[in-house]
Amino acid sequence: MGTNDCNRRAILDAQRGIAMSALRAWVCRLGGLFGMERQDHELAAELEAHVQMHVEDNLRAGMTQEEARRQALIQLGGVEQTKESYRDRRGIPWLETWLQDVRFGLRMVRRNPGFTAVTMLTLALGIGANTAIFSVVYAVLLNPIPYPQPDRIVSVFVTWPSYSHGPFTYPNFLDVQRETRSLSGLAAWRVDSFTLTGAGEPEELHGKMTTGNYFSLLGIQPVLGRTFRPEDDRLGAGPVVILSEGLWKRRFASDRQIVGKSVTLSGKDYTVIGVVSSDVHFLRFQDSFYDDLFLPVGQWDNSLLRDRRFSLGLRAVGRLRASVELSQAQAEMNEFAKNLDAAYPKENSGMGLGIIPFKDELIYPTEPALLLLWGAVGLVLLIACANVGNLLLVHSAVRRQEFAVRAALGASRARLIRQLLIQSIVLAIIGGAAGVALAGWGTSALLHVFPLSLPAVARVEMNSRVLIFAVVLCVATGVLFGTLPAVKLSKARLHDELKEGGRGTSGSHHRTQDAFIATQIGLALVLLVGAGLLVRSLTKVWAVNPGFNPQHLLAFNVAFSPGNFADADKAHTVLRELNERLALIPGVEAVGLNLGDLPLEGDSEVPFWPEGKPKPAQLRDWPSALSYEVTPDYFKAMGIPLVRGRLFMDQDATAGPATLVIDEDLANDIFAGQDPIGKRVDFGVGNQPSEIIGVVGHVKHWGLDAEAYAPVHYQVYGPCLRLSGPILPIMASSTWIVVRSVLPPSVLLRALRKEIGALDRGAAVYNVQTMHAIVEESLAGRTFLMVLLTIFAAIALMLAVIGVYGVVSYSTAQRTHEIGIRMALGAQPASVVRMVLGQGGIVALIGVAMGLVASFPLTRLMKSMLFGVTASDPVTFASVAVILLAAALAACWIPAWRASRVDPMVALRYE
Amino acid sequence: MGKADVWQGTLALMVLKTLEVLGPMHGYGIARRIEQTSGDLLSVNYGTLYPALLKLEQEGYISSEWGVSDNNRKAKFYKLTRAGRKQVEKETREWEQTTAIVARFLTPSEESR
Repeated sequence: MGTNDCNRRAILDAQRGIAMSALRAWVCRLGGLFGMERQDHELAAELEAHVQMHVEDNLRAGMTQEEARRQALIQLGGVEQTKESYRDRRGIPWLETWLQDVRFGLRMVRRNPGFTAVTMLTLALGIGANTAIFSVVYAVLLNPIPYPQPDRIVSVFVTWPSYSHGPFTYPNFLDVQRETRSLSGLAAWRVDSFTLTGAGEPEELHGKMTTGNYFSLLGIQPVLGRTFRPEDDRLGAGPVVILSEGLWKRRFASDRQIVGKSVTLSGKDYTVIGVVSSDVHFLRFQDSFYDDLFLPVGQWDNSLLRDRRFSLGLRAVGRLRASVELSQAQAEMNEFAKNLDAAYPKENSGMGLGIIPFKDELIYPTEPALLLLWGAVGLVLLIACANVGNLLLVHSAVRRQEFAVRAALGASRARLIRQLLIQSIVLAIIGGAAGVALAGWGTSALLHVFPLSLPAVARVEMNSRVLIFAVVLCVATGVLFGTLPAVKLSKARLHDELKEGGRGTSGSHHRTQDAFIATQIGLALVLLVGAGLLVRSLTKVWAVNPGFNPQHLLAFNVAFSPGNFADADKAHTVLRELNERLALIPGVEAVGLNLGDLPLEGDSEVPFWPEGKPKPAQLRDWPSALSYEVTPDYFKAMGIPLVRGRLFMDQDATAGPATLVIDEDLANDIFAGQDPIGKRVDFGVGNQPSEIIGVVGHVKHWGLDAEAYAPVHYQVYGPCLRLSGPILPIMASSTWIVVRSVLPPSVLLRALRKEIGALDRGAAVYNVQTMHAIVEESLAGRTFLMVLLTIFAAIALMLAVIGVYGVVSYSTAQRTHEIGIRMALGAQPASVVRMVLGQGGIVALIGVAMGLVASFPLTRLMKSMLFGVTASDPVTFASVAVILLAAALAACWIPAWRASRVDPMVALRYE
Repeated sequence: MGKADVWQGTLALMVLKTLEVLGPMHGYGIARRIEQTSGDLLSVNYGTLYPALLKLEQEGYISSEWGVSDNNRKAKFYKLTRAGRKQVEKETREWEQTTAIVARFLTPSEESR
């Protein structure tokens, strides 16, 4: 037994020894790749000594000098052969030839600076654009959820017959959370704003009220302290708050002792229990800015939250159990919906529950645009490849003789192709390195210009995956553009080359190049058409009348100290006084308050029914309208025109029957053919019917381009100072104020802040924007897409023009001799110009035709991104075709003109 | 019977053993010594010796330095390292084992007859 062990150990030792010495040998051989000259020198000396000693011995044995040397060399087996086998042993032969090829490629790069510069620039643009877009695609589409096991995270939502993706009410959520078996957990949140007071200026913060399991479910670890526990998430529990790292650094100077301290939010004290990293809370794009702080929702003592019917909605996210399929979870949700409907028919009738992978919800809005951009940069890269391929062809024409000679001397075709491909890859990697630098700079510049238009932008970065992508792309690009020239060049045969007398091009060569440019032009056309359609769409969007006047209009939110909303009377007094103070500021034309949501800034809806018709029993069968709670001057401030009847007056808020202003769409649809003025509208339970007093213009609430997809069109306005009950403080907590004034916004804002501060020292002013900026921002995604695609199309156009110019001027230069003869025989310069232009023009025409054919199916894919134009918009197609042809002909013009100036004598003597 | 070629692997052992017996030695000397020891039965293509020496040096069994030969010629001398000494022992043992096994096949024993 003992010996056996001993043997085994000896064997192991031996094995380890062999492994070690083999490793050592490999390291030496790798090292052998360097300092070869010195080593060659040493070997030569060693062998020389060897031969000399042998010769001396042979002489002693009685041979002649000549015979002694001959025998010594025979026995050695030849000095050069020995050196060769020695060298093979010294380094790693295949690696050496590869390195040799790489060095050869680098030498070619150095020797031809002009060629290198053009190639590098082309490749840098192509690879850079692809890397930049991939970094965004990776962060936004491929890896959008920065939490553990993102595939198991699902979004759970409520569906109604009129609304397919709604929030939960808290009681319904609690029931589902308690009952679910297919999910290992279900968490929810709602966003809210809080005024931070204490040290420094009062500040409006945006946060989430989450369920106790929110952090543990997503797998978010705190940076400091702890996250919520279930016992924090109950009525009567100690008020606690979690800060985001960003807020902690900015407002609390990264105080490591913050845990346990108290902060005042909207007049109430909370104990800080932890700090969480800022970059991980992104759940829904719309909510992404609401991550200054987190509170447990279960502590919130609000009767509306606990009302099963009234929707202070919560968004829900769950984690699927490991073995459960999505369809099983959906079946379970269907069951829950049925039970909830049966148990609470008044509140839940018609309700359904839906469940989808969270990733789908997150990437849904941006996926088509990003895929479009990805496709676009792919086309740019193809054009770049065609360009560089063409340049290589031109360049290789010069080297045909060299390669023919090498082939004749015995270099195998595979060896020649490999060498050329390695050169291409060297070029691609150098260009790609510049491209990655360009991409890093370009991405941050672009995201800086359009910071809000893409979700997950915070996580767009040049990470290792992106770099791997770039390297793979470089190699693939090198192979793609290098293969054809390499294959053609390796076919070079000595006798053909000698026959051609070194001028070395043939017809097939030109045909390949022409095919390359035609392809480039076709691809560029596709991109130009796409960009053109987006430009035309954006122009049409901007031409849409929003229904209000966004010029000279400032909008902002005010949050008052909590005490101001203790009762309805007090709240009304504050709001009325606010309105009066602001209206008195010199230079202010009109001030409007809106306790609902501004156009383009959220929405709140109410079901309504015009009195007089038989009323459906269920609220869900009533039509819905967007509701705005406003002051009388709101219409004047916004620039919403009165169409019929009258606007609100101050007494509408205080006395008489409830009054209502409706928009034109509602008037025309619901009261078609009747005068709506004086008609009464029912708003359901607990509300007395309101009388219509006026009709105003329709406002494009959902955005200039979104009317077609808007879930709710009709609009109703009520006097905000008539509101009362628990709804008032909630709505007034984010009072929108719009001020029409020609004063510069900064001057105006200073005056506004002063007045608001005088009214309530604890009030916070936030979300300050001009209405024009709000409109612009609503189109940011569309603008971003348009700008990017236009940039890519411009690059494509530029590359295609360079390609045309390069090929035409090269082939014209090749034909100098022929053109000289033509001119000597009487050809006019004009006809020479026509000939060259014709040559380029035909290729361009073929390219344009191919591009047009390819564009029709491709532009149809971007239908959803267009506005006011069809995917086959003839204006766009025709103008792009004309632009491209003109650009191609302009590129041909210089070589054509140069050709027409050829002096026949010089051209002929050149031979 | 003609001269046998030196087959791969055994050359390394011969080189190591030669160095063990004779001490530091240059390439030519090693080649001659192997030839002599084999009783001129082996034809060593001297050229193949140098890659083999390089391999042993890379593996760390021998080391080399420039010195002066008996007849005052500058030559590269190879000598065994400590690892090389162990390797000689090990390879000798393995070689004996292998030949013993092969010998059993070649000289049939009593039982198998």
